[in-house]
Amino acid sequence: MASEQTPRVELLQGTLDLIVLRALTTMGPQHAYGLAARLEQMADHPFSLNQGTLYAALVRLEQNGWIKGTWQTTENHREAKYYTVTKAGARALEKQTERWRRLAGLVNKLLLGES
Amino acid sequence: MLRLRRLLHRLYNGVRPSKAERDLAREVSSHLTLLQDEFQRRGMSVEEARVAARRAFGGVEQTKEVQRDARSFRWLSDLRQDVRYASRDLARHPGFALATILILALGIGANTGIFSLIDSLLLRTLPVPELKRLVQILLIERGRRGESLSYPVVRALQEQPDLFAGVCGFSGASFSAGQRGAAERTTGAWFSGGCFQALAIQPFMGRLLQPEDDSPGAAPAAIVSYGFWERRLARDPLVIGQPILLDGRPVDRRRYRSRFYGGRSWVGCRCHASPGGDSSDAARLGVTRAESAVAAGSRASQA
Repeated sequence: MASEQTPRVELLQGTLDLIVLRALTTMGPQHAYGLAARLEQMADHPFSLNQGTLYAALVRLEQNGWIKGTWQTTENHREAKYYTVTKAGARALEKQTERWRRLAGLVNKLLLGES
Repeated sequence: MLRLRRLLHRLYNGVRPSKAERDLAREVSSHLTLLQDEFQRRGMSVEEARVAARRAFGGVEQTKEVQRDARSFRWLSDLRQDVRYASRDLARHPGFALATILILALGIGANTGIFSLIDSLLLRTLPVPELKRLVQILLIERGRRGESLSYPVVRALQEQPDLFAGVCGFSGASFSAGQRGAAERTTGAWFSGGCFQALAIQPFMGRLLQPEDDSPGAAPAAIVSYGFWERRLARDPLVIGQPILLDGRPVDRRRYRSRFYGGRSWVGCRCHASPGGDSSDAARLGVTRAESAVAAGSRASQA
């Protein structure tokens, strides 16, 4: 892990889980490769996602019961583990997004002076 | 609830990682394959694509490590590995293993035994309220610890309320105690009448010895421990006030819940009436382990 990447990774740990959850909700069931590609696309500024942190996020989400992974076959007849968002996951996403929105608003106001 | 769920998952993965490990390997392999397919689609050769896929993915082992840490606890998986290596190693050297285990067992056993002994003899605190105010009085003769204090000294100390709020004089003894024809040798002690007041102990049933019991001519009185009552008197509540034979002489019995002696059979009897009623006997009794004086406030430092 390059040292310049490390601070970015640490910032994202809690929020990366939410980002992955959101991506899966939007995209539908997806495997790790697809997610990685999509996440790099989604951000305005390209950020190189460390694969380890992505896999760690997937483990956390699965252990929380927010996503479920099942092995399926791709269009090219390769096997891949597809993740889907569960009902609990959808509820969690809503709640956490709201919290995040409020937090971001607060930080904006207090730190950046924007209302 | 969420925390608990994750915690359980992580603990489980710590002790039984094989399934999760296989799954991870499978997933990483699949990821690499998909990457390779993509590069091949862009025109690379199989070999080039494979190398490019690896490079694009990043460190495989690193990725796995990070995932492992997230799915379990690092200390737990490390511990598991250490235990496996250690047991494999020990299995290869059974003689050494056996010797080590025996030495450990002996050491632990001896330690436990000694500690239990010391614990029950020394460390267990007396079940006495205000333990901090309790002091033990020793006699020092010519720079050396003397045997004991005699009964008249105990009486004298009792008459100094500024020095000590209460004084307990005590002398271990063994009696043959019990009903006629059913007496057995029992450990016990002589007590000065003010003992239990000084120690502020409550009896389980009946009454404890009191200062009045010390006056000459008062009827002899005895108290028995809970253990004695249970074992020898079958917990009969009617025995209070009934005489008990101590060394062949009837003595009024009271009852007492004793913790000091770990519930051994135990009979206490007041000081002054030694069975012969002889005051010289009283002098002989002395006080061996003075459970002794409750210091009156700050005077303890001056005493």
